[in-house]
Amino acid sequence: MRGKIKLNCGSELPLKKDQANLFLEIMTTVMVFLFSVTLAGYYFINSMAESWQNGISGSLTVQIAPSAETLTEQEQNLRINKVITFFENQPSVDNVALLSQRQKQQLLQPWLGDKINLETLPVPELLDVRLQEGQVFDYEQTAAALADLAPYASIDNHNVWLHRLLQLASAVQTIGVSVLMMVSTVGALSIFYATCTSLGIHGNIIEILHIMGAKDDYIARQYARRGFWIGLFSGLAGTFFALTAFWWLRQSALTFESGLMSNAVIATDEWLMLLSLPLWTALLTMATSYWAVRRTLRKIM
Amino acid sequence: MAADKSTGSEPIVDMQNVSIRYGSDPEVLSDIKLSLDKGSFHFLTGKSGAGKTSLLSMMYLALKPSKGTVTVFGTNIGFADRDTMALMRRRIGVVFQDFRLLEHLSAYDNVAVPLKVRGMKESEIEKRVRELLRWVELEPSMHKICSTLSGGEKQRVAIARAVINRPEILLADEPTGNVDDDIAQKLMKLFVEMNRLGTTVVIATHSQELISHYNYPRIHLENKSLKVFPALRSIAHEG
Repeated sequence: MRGKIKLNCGSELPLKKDQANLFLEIMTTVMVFLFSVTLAGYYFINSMAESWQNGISGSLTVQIAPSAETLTEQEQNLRINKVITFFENQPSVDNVALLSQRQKQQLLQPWLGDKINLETLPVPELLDVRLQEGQVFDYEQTAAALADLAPYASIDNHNVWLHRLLQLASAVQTIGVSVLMMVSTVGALSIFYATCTSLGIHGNIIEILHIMGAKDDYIARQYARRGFWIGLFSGLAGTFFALTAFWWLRQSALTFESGLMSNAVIATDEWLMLLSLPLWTALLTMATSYWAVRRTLRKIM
Repeated sequence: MAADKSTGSEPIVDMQNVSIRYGSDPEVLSDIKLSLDKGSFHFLTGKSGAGKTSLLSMMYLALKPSKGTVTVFGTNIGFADRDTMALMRRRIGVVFQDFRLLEHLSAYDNVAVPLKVRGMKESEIEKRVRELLRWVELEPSMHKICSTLSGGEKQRVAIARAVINRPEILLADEPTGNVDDDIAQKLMKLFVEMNRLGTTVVIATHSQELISHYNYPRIHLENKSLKVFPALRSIAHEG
């Protein structure tokens, strides 16, 4: 009868058997799932917006409409060169390039398919005009001068629709941040009230522990430990479901993605943030449980 | 045996004009004055409902008075913060009439609680708990969950838990009520020995046999007030 005794390490409260545990676990899993999906969406939109901005903001496209009359190749080249020269002479322009037939075919491929013959279609010629960094481009004045010189050419200013698109992305991100805050708040409140319920259930044991000389911190640490493990396991479950959902969404997106989405990626540090969510959840549930116990016990005995 | 071992120093428990009232009910105790010297031994008597449990609750710092001041270890409990109260409670051992054990834990874990809350090392806890459980003849049952123990065994666990910390004040509510005579004698010897080593002891009891056998003064509660009767042998000597 002299065997080594394994002491019941700091768990006089039978918290593992609490009925509220299952509720907490399910609720936390759902919250982490929602949080992960929202956060990933936020990162995704951020990446897309950056990609659009980087790819488009320093450029503009010029369309040269096909002539209504039949022109010789020389006449056609003359029309195009006139516009190219015009832009090359602009001080804020860095480079002007005429899009090849193949490039135009690629642009039209998502809408018209692979088997298109551009010769049979009235497709305009396109110029990709790259602007110098830091230079101010006067769109209105340039467009007016171009209209005088070559009324058959027109400028597509990407910044107009890019600005609208970025505004939309920003609005979606704001909603995302609000959802993240709401999910965190609801999660913390649920843990708080579940902890208070548990304190009520175990009131007799807590009273005995107090009489034995236990400080509030001793009892709060038992709840904090329970909160940590619930948070960690539920966090892992929620993140797993979220990753499964991302994978499924990615697979679906691959079937229709175009230039809008192809460049959007979640960066390494953002992946680390997403994958560390179970740990953050565990820390949040631990801290909330601890604080809830300390706050509630102050009113007892 | 001397009843009061007054040393002339400040009392270990001092109650001045203390009243207790629960909510809007009438007062349970009214205008109580009581001083317990360090190292004293008292029996606490009174009919059921006379306020014995309330008086003991104040002594083990689970209850603050509605009126008056209670000073324990020189600290007015009305002004002590929660951590100070916890540290003071560690110097007090309590045996409850209904044991108030943690029923889901083993006898060993119950007795270990007061040492664990103090942050004592596991090896030291094991040594002390094992030794005490052997002394109260519970070593063979120490791994049993308390809900499976008999009334007498539970009482011995409760007493072991109360004394494991070598408390400066030991409060016991009917500590020999559920045990046979041999164990009762042994437990009373433990209390007497602890008292001899300096522990202040208050035992609430209805047992006239216990009171007459052990020659200690008696605190008697009746009609919301308190009277302290000296040890019987002292009266005989005075007589």
